[in-house]
Amino acid sequence: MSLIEIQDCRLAFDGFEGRVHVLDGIDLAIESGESVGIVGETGCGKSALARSLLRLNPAPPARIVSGAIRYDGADILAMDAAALRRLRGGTIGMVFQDPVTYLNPVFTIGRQMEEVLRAHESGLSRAQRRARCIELLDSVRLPQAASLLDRYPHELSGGMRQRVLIAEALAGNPRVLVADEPTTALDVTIQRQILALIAGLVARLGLTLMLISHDLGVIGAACRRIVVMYAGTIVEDAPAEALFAEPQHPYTRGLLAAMPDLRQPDHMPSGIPGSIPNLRDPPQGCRFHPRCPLAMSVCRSARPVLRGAPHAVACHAVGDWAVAP
Amino acid sequence: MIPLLELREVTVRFGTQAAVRDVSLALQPGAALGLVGESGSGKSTLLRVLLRLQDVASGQILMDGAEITTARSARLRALRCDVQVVFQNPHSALNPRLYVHDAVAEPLQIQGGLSRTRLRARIDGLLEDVGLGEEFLWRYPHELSGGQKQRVCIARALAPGPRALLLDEPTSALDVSVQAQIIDLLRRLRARHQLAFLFISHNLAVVQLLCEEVAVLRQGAGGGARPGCPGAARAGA
Amino acid sequence: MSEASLPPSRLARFGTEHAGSIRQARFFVWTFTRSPSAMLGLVLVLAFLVLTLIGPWIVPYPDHARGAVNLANRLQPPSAAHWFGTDEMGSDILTRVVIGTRTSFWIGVTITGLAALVGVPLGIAAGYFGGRIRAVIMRVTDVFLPVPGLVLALAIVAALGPGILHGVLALAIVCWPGYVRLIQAKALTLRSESYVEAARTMGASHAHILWRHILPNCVSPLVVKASMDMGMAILAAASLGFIGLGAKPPAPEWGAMIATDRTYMPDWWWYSAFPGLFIFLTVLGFNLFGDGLRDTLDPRSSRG
Repeated sequence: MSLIEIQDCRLAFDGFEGRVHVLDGIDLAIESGESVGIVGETGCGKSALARSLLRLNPAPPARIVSGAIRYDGADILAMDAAALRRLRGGTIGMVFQDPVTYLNPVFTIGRQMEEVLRAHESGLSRAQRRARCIELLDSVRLPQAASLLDRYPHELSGGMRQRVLIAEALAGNPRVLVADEPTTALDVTIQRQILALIAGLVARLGLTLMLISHDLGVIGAACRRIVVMYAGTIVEDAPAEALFAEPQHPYTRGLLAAMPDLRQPDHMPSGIPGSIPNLRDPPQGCRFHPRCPLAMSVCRSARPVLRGAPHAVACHAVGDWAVAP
Repeated sequence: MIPLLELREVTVRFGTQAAVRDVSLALQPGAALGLVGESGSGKSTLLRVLLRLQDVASGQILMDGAEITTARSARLRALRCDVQVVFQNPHSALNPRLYVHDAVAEPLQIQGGLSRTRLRARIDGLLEDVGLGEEFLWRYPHELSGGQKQRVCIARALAPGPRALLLDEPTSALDVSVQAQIIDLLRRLRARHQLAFLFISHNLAVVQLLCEEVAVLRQGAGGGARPGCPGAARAGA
Repeated sequence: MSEASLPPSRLARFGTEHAGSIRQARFFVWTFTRSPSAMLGLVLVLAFLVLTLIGPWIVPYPDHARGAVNLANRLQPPSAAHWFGTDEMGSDILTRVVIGTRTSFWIGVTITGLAALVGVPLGIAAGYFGGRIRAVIMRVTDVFLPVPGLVLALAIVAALGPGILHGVLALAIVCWPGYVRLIQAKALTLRSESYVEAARTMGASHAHILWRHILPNCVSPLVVKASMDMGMAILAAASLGFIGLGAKPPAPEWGAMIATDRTYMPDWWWYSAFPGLFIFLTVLGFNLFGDGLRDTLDPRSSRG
């Protein structure tokens, strides 16, 4: 049994002008100890997927239309409030994009961390909590952890704040770390440090990692397995090396071709023509077909299934099963 | 050649702290200069200085060799048509209460002198320039994707007929596949309108696609032009 | 000129040019109608406005509004003839309460209108221009803010002498600093928005920027605050009437009516209960309505 199992998950937002199909039949199994990167562009549903794992999508308007999400065999969708609290920040730690908005500016770092600790380890004395905070800050390589506890968020740089949030995510001794665009708000040089830190923690603590980013470079630096999403579906799911060496899905190829490369100054990156579909009324068949260079008639009618292991791809036009045009 | 825009030993202070210290830099007509540096290095402050949105503590700003450091009112308004800006975040660069049509019309209306039909024709032309069709005219910004918004911002910047575009990380808030489209668009527009670019970015790979020269800002001070591209970008005193 | 290039009909052009506004309006309606409390507020406010508008034509005893004396009928409990009972002069309380909506309406509108009229321009000037202008305006505003509103109003009325006009004036003086604060903060953030800076680089004048960018974006918070303040103003005016510094009996004003009944409590409960109920429903209505507007007009609320 996989640690995290998502089966045929369909998530919709009931909004003005109808239902938005945010996730449309997601199948994803993550084994314990895996580090999985989820990559895709704005509106592909990658954050919604990560949030579904903790039932963090506001409901209403969000609604799981069908499917199952299980953690270690337990149905997350059926959990009561107490079990959900144990899951959030306990078994599954979460780090978000913007470190500024997730820290309360009027409380010291120490106070905020202690609050998280109190929620998950109620038996600790005050001194023990403080010691644990320092230990946590040390583990995210923040120097002079003790003095940091008495500082306010605005006294810290963006990178330091993100480290504090990672430390908070680790406070409940999680088995899984979900990081949603943890480096997007940071400078390039800091990005690398934070990614290295996350990769190091995952290896040292034996965590399972789910890293969400729009940036293939970021995902590639920290994950062994990459899942590419487009318009609410998974189009490719492969080991990192295989994905970079031999991308199969036309969308993945397009993404890679669009990345500017410092080492190839003469290579002009090409964009993917067209724009993302309206998820209120997504295209029939393969959701990528209106922008796809390989589109055939079958792509317009039949939804491709994710096939192949370990390199899975959902496309009619590639792989052993490819349909002749 | 006389630079289109030039900064001479410019220092900007916020309170007692210098955000930019003794930076010199020149943008030749038709050239494309990249300005890279980490956040907090003063890139955006420098851009605001060039736009005359930010006053300097010391130093000079020159345009076509004439000093404009303290130019005011009518003279400043005339200068402003020549230098236009595209901001980083297209989501906050468009007034949420204005249609695409009104956003692009704004600089033309400020300049004045266009009849209703000629105004409309000009707007249609500008939108076509940036690859947007007529169906976008009467949409609000929140009905557009990030890439489409940035195209509207570019159309708006082109409207007064500038000689230079200052681009403040115009692609960093966009998806990669869209980023490539925008870079391509900017390259084509530069060739067609003989524009000079000052391109601010933290991403060297993107800078190299658009610019012939690169200057590096480090903690508010110029760090010199990129090796191999000497000359025009004389950053640092 | 060929036929194909003929301009489309006016109506069709209006349709295309305002399609976005129509979509937006439909979205506002959709969001608003999904909130039960906002809808309750809307119903109460509409009921209040309808009574204001057609009150004199639907009340059973129009001549009782200004205090006709009918001592044979004084202090009758609610009955089929007098649904809300009668007062110590024998006037029909239903009539007086309904006509009272007019008093409350113009009190509310005048107070919020005057306060906004003074507060909005000052707030915009302070927020947009900043610097010394802002320092002066905000310093003056700060003098008014810490004084409890009703106490200040009391002092002003005491100085001017009691009366409904003086009460309204006093409450407007109490209210305007709130508008300065609100609009100043909004204009301050708008001033540094990229689109305002872009307008400046186009050589736009201050007047252009204020008219095109700052003012339209101040409308939503202003409407929300004005709606909330309508309720507050009506309540405050009633309070002044209650302590005898606002409207005077026999003017049909809710606060004054409750005040007169103080001496008849609790045996003649209907006398104060119905004006009180109307105050309660009106203030509740404007507050819920304002809350609903806030949720609907909030630019952060994404389009579903």
